[in-house]
Amino acid sequence: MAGALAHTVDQRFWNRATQTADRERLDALHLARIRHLVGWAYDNSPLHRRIYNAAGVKPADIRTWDDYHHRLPFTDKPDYVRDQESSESGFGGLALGPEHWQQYFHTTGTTGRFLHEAFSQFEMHKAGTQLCYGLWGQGARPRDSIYFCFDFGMWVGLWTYYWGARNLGLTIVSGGGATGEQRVRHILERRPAIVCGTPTYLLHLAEIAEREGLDLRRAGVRILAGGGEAGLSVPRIRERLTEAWGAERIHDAYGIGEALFIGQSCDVWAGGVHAIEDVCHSYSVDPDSGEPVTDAGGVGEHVITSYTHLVQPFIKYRTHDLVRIDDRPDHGCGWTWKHFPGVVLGRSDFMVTIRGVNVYPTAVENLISEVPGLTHHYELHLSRRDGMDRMLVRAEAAAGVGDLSDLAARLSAHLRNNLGVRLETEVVHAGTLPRYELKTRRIFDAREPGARAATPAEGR
Amino acid sequence: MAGVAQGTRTRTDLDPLPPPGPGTGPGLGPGLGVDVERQRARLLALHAHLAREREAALSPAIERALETAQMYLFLALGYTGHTDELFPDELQVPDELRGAQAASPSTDATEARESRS
Ligand SMILES: [Zn+2]
Repeated sequence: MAGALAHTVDQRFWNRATQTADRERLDALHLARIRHLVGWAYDNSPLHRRIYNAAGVKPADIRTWDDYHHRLPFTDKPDYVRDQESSESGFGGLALGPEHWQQYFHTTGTTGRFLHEAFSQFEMHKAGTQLCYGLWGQGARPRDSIYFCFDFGMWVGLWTYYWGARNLGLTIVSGGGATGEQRVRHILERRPAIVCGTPTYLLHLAEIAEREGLDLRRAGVRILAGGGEAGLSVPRIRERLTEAWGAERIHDAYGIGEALFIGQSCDVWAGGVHAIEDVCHSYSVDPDSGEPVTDAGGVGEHVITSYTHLVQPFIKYRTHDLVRIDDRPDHGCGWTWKHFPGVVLGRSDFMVTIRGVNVYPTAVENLISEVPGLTHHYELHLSRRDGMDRMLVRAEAAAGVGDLSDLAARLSAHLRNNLGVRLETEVVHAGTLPRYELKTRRIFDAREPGARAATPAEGR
Repeated sequence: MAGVAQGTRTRTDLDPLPPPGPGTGPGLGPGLGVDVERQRARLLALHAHLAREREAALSPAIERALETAQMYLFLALGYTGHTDELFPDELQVPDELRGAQAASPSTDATEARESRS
């Protein structure tokens, strides 16, 4: 593939023309696409037409960024869930019916209210382009091989990695249906250039290899790629993975269940991921007022419009991820696309107020990983006593750590210093906690359903 | 599926925005550079060529292969900043269908103006 390119083509970028375009040109492209999509959704999706009619807005009204920010209504997951529950198809927000679908999925979640997602064949191809920008930047090239540590199910995130690998021209090695030990042995045999998995699982494989006396560093894996959790942008976890696998690069992908992996690492790691602006528009708002965040470095709720979805449009869609957006990044990679330092900083809809302080589980998770002597395995237990929310942080010590109470005290102090509130902490022996595949499973909410703000992060 | 996907429609009521930068001609994208615009124009011509060949396909096999080719080609169009259509079926809406859509209530510019006042 790349072999046919002219020598003059800049091969540092997957698609230089847009990846390095100036902010004004990018914004003009975004506005044109958004206006087109709003018209598409109004004409074809009964849900969107209802929402826009209720707000007294017609597609022709959306001409400027001010119109987009202030006239066009937000959409949110409950809009789609309500629509899917009342529709014969079982899908919400549809603009094209089943005769156009090639595959369908559902989001992950802890409440049992999955959002069903339908994709046309073209949308799957388009979704397959998203991963290419980042993986190409990390040095992945056609005919490099990629090993997938997955059993493919109904969660779209894994599939988009697979489509991305196909689109980039990678050789695919499936680890489906294998045990962890078998996967370690496959990787040592096959020597893939890239291994794809969640950070928790990649560390888990490193533990298995160590237990079995196998040296994963001898597999020659250049790139560890994944997402679905915060770990791949947490410095300490990146260091552990680099050390255990001997990998040159760690690739993080930030996904939103409804818009796929729309954030990717670049080749100059700057503590976060870039928005993939060819496939999505991103901005952030004050979660309460809905006003755009305008101050540089301000944290807000990430709101997206996806250009990948036509069957089921997602326009000005509230992700409930709290992010910081640098819209003119300058850390040497050459990309002009917006950058999210720290990736997801928390959730606007899954917050626990403890003695007056708002605590986000994602923030706690990041802080746990900063305490020396702790592993990345943890559980968060939420409860309510006498009307007050409580959070118990149960973390696991590294092998060989003896004084667990001292470690619990250090964890407590680190959380208090950074969050401004004391949380209950407990540290258990190495190897005690279950190895969760998805972050959401590690959060145990024993509060009455009505007391919960909402479900934890979807797809991340 | 032969020809046009049912239910696909193209907006006809959106006034073009003023060109955002120098070097942007009427009907062109927001100026990612002359070379990119030239490639975009060539890709559009190629897409039209594929559409014609698809109509003349001698078997479902050939028709389907060309349809898939159009999907990949449309990815390339997206990389060049093409915004007039957002997926390949939109490019294939024939003129007579475009005319029928222009008369639909939702694309009536008068209605949109009224809602603004
Ligand atoms: Zn960068």
